[in-house]
Amino acid sequence: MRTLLPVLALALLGLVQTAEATHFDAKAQAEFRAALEEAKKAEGNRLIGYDHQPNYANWGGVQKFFTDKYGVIWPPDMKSSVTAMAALIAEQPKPQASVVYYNAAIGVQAAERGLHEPYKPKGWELIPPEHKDPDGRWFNIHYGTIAFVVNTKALEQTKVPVPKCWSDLVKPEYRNLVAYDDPTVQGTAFDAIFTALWIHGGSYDNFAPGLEYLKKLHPNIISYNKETSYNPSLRGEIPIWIHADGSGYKMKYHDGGPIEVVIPCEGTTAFPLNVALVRNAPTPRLAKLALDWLNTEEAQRIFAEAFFRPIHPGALTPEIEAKMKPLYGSYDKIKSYDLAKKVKMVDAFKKAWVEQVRRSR
Amino acid sequence: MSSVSANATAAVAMGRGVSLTSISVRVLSGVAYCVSGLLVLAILSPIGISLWGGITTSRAMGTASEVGPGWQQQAGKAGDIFAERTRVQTRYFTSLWYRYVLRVYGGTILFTLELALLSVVLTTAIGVAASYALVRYRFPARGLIEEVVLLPMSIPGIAVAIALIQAHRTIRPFWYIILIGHLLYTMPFMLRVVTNTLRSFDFVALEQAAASLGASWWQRMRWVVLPNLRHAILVGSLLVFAISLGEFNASFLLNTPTNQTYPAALYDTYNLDSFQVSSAATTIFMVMLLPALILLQYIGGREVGEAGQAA
Amino acid sequence: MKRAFAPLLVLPLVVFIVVFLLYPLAYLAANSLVAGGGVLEGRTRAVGALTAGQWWAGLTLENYVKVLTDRYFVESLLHSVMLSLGVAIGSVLLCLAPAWVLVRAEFPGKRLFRAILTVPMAFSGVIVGFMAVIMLGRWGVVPAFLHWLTGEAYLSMVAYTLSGLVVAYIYFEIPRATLTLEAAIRKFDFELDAAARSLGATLGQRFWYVLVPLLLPAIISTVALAFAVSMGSFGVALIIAKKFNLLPVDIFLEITGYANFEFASALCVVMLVITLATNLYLRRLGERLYVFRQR
Repeated sequence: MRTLLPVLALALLGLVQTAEATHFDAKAQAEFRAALEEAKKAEGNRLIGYDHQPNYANWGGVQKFFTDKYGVIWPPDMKSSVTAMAALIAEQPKPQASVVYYNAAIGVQAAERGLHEPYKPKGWELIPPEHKDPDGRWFNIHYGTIAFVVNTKALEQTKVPVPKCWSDLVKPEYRNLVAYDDPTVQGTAFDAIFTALWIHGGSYDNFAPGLEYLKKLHPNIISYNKETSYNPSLRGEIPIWIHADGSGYKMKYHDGGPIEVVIPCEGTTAFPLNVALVRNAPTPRLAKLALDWLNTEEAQRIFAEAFFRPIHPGALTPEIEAKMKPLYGSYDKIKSYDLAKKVKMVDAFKKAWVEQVRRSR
Repeated sequence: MSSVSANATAAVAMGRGVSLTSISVRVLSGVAYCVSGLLVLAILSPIGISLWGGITTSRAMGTASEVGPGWQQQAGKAGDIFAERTRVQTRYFTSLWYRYVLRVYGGTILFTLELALLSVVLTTAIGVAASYALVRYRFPARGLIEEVVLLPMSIPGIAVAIALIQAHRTIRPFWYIILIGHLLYTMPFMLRVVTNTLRSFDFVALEQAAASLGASWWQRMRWVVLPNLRHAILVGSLLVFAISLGEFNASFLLNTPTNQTYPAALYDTYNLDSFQVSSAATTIFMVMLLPALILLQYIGGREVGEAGQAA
Repeated sequence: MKRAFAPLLVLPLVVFIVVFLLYPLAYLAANSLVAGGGVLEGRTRAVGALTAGQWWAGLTLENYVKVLTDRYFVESLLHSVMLSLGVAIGSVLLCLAPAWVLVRAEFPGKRLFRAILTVPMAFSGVIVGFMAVIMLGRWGVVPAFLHWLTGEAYLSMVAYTLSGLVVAYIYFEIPRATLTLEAAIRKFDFELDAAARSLGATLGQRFWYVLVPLLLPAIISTVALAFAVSMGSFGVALIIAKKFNLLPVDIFLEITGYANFEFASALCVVMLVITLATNLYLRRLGERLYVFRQR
């Protein structure tokens, strides 16, 4: 049974290198540049990808770095995971994007629907088997952990304490202070509700405990944003945002916001995020090179700067690791699950959520 | 009957030199003035605040992430990634936000202006020709054509966009599908302005008079019809320009990853960027729009009031 | 140029309209009549990937049934209609004041006053939404001012409630309503009002039996147009209708989030029908009233 727990434990301990960084040394870089020039001649220097939100996992920094260093324009894209998949479905057989990034569960769904071209980037052997599709239709590049992103300044004004547990959030004093994005559209938000399900004893077929909890939480929710709530959270419009821990740390250290990250006391789950080559991509050579690059230590380090744990554990420097300290809770309480089985229940769970939680009174 | 008593009261009141009804009229006028004043305040204050927001160094309205691709220095290098942000010009004012918006959305601004100008040219060419034919000649379905052209004004933009995306999949990835959306929404205005003008003076008689004097069709167009339409075409062009600049409903769905109109870029700044950057972006939009609006005020008048508008 | 050829000048317009307006609308209606399904239902079919034969075989009304029976969409529909109607009527009532001032009052800066009133006309919906947020959002100017005045931040977050939506929508109806009412009031013959007064009518009677009936056609046509614009206004809804489900936003989500084009087409058709029908009905009503009063 493929579980994430051993991988995560090892990554956290950093004792055993389960995936070595491809040595993106000078020679490899030179080869990469040469290949890139070739591709640029053939396809132009513009690479379009879906779901590259600048504030998510530091895509803004990654894309800017890539453009500055290699001269390929790779513009940001505000689609969410599901929206990107929907766009790819709608645009067949001629999609407008060549690369796509998703929450892993959605990525696997998209691969199963035949939207990806199998491609194994350089350094494929070094990616652990749990983090890639055996046929090469997708591979993970980093993962996050579901946590509460708390705007302490906004909470101070309401005079309620910082929540420590899932059970705290349903208390009446947190009315209109909590939010998570719309899980039918945002991948990380889906993981938020999946975590709620998992922590309360649900399983791949039994949604009831999760839905129970989410229904109890519903009165405390401000709204289910279809766009990401990064800025509203930073601004204090959403005092408690259930999202990835990386976003919280980024707000705290890069944007200087009054933000703390809380890992709930009952536990949480980690979720990987993957990338893929789009089938019938308009610029396949550029896309393949970009995917190769995403699998190098250079790219993984930049993602790590936004506090999303890279698949190459060496890319997570001790300084960054030191900053990833939640206010409450710890990373020991991460519960594992099977990604393949999770993918099978995604749609059913979302529909159940829509019927029972979103439209409940 | 009440009118009798009212008459009597009025008569009595008039004897005292003050009419009762004129008091209510005065009160109502006072209310009208107050409401108008409040409306002016309500219209101007957000504009003023966003003007201030675009140049201020204050961190009002809460922080927002400014670590987007437009800001960050080379990532992975040590150093102040906010160096640019802190490089303010005076204690209270800075041009940083404008520089950022122009750097990140400069291409979008140019594209939007191009679309607006193209819309003007195309609506003038197609619209004037069509108006001439519609007013000058009788043919079947004349009224129907006018009604149908006006249809987009009553149809939600998103419906038109979805219809276009589905029906014309082959041109969906290209920028001219946005142009088509703009044309659909601006053509009614050009058409209406020109046909109203053509109908307002007896240009048929003028043209026939010219014809009787031996002018060819082209000469009649050039010397009789078009000069009289100058004002209408100008007003129409300004309207088309203004509407095309601000069109969002249909454009938002018709945008492609490589081509985006400025209102959609504005929406991105509202989601992604701080109040300061959003205000700067909004002010730039107003500056793009203002010349057209001012000119419209001065030369337009009646037609502008009667024309509706798709927002 | 022969006279026979001149009507051909209308041809480019006709071709444009048929190809880019009528055909897509017909396609929209046609596509709403086949079963859809979004990403959540496992959809893999691209847009418009049906052949004519498949379309004919797959004809069904299930999308419309879903629109009209699913409580969520009925709610969205009602919200949109009620909001648009309320905004249309409210803006007309509100703009009677500036329209009256523009016609009857003379003061320096009147031209400026009119210019200011027409400024919101060209603003895009998104900008109006942004302005609503900076005035009435969580850190809005109005709550900040009230906080400074009274120590309590009243009206914070109003932008995201129904009242905030109404205010924002009315904001960009102001120019149109004012200008149309002004044009109508200008045409109003004040001799009639003087005649009524000389016959002993009170202010109220003069208002209801003289002014309003003659203004009614203009009022109704303004209401019709304002209704159509509000129904379709999507930019404002995207920014501030967070808790309130509105039809354009639902359509947008069905397309971009779930790729459920067929169902979104059905929603569009329903919205189209409602908007056009209301528009037509109100216009006819205005015309009939006008004719009636003439008699």
